[in-house]
Amino acid sequence: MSSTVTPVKEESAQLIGLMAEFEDVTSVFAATEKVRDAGFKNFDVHAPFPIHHIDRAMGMKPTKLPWIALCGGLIGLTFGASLVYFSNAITPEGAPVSLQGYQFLISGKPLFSLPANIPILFETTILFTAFAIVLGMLRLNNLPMHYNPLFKSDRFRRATQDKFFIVIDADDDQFDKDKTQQFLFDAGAEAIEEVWD
Amino acid sequence: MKTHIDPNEKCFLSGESAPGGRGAKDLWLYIVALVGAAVAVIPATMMEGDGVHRFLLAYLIAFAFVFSLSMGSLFFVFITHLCRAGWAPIVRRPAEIMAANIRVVAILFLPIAISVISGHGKLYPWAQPDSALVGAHADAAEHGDAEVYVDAVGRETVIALVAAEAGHGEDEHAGHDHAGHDAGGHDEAGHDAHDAAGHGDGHGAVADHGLEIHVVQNAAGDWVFPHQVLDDFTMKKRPWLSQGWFIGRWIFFFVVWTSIAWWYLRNSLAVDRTGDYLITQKLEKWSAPIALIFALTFTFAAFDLMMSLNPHWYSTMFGVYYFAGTVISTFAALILIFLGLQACGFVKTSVTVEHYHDLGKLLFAFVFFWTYVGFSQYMLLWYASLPETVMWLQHRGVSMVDGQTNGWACIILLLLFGHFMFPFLGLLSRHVKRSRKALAFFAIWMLVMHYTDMYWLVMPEIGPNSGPVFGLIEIGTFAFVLAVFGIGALRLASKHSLVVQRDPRMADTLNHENLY
Repeated sequence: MSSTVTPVKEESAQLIGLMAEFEDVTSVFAATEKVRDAGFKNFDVHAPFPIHHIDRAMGMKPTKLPWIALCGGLIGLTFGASLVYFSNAITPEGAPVSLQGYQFLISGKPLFSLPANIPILFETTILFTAFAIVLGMLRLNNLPMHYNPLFKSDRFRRATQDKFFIVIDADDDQFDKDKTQQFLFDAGAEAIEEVWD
Repeated sequence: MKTHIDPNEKCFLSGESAPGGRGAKDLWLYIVALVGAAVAVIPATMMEGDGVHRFLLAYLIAFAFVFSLSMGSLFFVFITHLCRAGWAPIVRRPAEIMAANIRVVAILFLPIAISVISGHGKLYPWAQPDSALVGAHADAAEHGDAEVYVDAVGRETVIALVAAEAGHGEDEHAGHDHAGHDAGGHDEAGHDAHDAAGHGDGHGAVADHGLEIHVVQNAAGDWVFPHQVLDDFTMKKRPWLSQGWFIGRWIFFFVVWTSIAWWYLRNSLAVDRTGDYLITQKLEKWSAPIALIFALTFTFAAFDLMMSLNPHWYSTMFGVYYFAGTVISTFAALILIFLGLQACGFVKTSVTVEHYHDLGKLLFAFVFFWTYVGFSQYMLLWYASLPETVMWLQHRGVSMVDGQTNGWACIILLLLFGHFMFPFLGLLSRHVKRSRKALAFFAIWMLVMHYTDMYWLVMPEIGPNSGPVFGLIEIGTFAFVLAVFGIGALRLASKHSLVVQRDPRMADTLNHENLY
């Protein structure tokens, strides 16, 4: 049985969570399922490479990102339609010059003709969808995150090389320092480190 | 991790575990083909008007449909090799078989080739000998305001401007000289010839008060589109659109496609036997030049097959437009083939919902691609508004202006909503793509829509006086052509395994999973 490490910490530091180290994919995967089945919600798995189905093992819900993308697309479509309608087809009564549209008659086409404007609607839809996806992805991932207490741990550096980690947050309802520590050892952890910040 | 096909998997249609088993039961396909041929030919010979013209157009629609299946499959085979697609090998064999079936498509091409050689110009107006050329401008006086051309053998061709829609324009022009009004029955559908003099020289004109089209009287006395007689405008494309060169290049096309498709099938079967990854490497290496060859030959084939129905009209996007529909029909067909095979107990464990999901994603993507290309083509024609290009669209019902619509508008609206909006929204969700029933529905739907698309491209050439016509001739030719294609494909399929047996990417494809 490996030992628990309690790192040197400042006086005001608080316990953030417990970090358990695993040797290989199989053991971390099995342990993740146990953590999920024990009812933990606030925990994360760190690995040097993507592990297939780890999302299922962690019990993660399907992402909300598609809905965000759909909303972004619809907003973009509305924006594009309003833009071309405002700039080509109308002149608000008594509006200042800077707010008047450009009612140019081009090659005999109607002032507001859909075929000419579909590329614009299409492009704004795509643009806003792309924005929604990128920004939504950042938001759902809590990015950008410039600081994470885990970075202070020397042991955690091997998460990008050859070790696998499960970190259970201290603010999880199920969290109890000693019990959770024992639970993680039982689940097959090689070593456990307290994370203070 | 699966690395091999389950030994209990039923992979052979013939029910035997080794290649070279007896053929699958395809007697019913022969019956469908015969009945289809009879159902198409009998009404075509008995109908009033030009039955040969109608039959050839219906046949061309059906041919374009099965040609799509073969060429789309060829595209699927080389593009998955080109991308080294790990998910694809398990669904590649039916595509290889449909692509190799291009030899049957070549036989199905014979009626079209014969119609071109015979020189009557009914299917392709340019497919006439030079002697049919509409000749010099004649004295128009005795024909009122219509323009009259005389061809090399002295036949007169009258060009008149008519309002295209019944009940539109008559009153306005009641006082005008009704040139050619009593000739050839062009007014049967309420069409009304009127003043042609004010509209320059002849080839199509859009008047400011509604849609008007030029019609000409051909040698048989029928009123047809100007492009349906051999005129100077068509003759400018004579180096390309000539009978001998058409036959020559199509022989070349079929030789190239058949060689490529059989090369893929033969090598894929060799991988089945040996598992040699060097063969797969070779296929992948040569897929890049084959993609180039495919793109060029397919574009010119599309120009020949359907764009040259109207030799006045041209669109450089046309090849891509047909290609988009082609790929849609292929993915739909692959989905249905595997659903059908699995329903009959074949390849039950190898092909999973993940493969359907991927085929569904590609189907969805190409639904949008079709729209993208179709709209791009339309927008350029609409913006430039050149008479010879706009006429093509206008007669196909593409106009939202009151009084400019005709009977074909319902077909293009059906395409807009049925070929794009409905499947686009329907296939958007991953749950639909992962549900076999929903995916089967959309696959059938897209095949019907692909037929409608081909119908919309081809059938308006029936003539200026006709709206959409659909009947036994269309159904019969389609049944015949599809059944003959099916016979060829089934013969090939029953000789070989329905899925690849060994492949360097076997583990990839058997364990394939979609994250999203």
